[in-house]
Amino acid sequence: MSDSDRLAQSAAQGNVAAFAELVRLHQGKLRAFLRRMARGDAALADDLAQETFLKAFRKIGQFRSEGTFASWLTQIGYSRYLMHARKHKLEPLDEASEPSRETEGALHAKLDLEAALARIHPAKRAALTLCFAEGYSHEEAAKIMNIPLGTLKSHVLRGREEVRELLSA
Amino acid sequence: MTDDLDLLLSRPLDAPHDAAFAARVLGELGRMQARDDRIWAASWAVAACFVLALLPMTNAGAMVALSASQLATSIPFAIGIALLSLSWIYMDAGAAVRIGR
Repeated sequence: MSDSDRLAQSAAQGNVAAFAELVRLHQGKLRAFLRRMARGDAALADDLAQETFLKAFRKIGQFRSEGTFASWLTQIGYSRYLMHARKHKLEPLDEASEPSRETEGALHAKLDLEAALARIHPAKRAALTLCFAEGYSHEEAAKIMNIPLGTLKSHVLRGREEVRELLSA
Repeated sequence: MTDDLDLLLSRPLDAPHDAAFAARVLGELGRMQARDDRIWAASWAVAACFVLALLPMTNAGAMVALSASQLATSIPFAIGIALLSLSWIYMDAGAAVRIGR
């Protein structure tokens, strides 16, 4: 059992100091993930991260050490992001939607990775980020995103292909 | 290209500095708990009012008045209250001397 899992167990018994330590330990990684999901909008990402921690505090009794605390927290964060995106119609979230390739200027510019990731479907962006940058296994990433393993693998393959195309444009 | 892309994608995300983020979350957590406590206390108060409203309290006022009049004429009760008051005044004066009031 990791230190975070022990702290989470302590927090579940009402130890607020243990939860404060969890916030300090995990805030950087969660905020970075949400910033990428929010396509670089730091203020939005921080608001979502704060909501995530508050939700995690309310639900800490439900945390089971089947996965890691970090993956459980990321799962809540991703779900908060999806709720926000649906509510504010930030991005097309249906599976059938194509990646947006709208701005004429950007088509001619060489895109960096963040810009390319910002232009693909959010589920593919999340799948690539979780499996590559965050180092989760496909199974863990599928659990975090609450999607079947096959769908996750498809998101990874197609997402990588789309990013490759965008980077070589 | 694919290998390069995989390397690029595998680059760890740049974690932003805390910059009082944790403090902000913990402050909000404290406010959330205080709010929850107030709601909890208010719920108990409302529940207690309902319970009291349902209890048979028709003679309660008379019982309180009778007890109060009996206590008011009781010499042992008066002496007890006097002793409590004197000891409280004595303790308060002692505390005032200790903290240099």
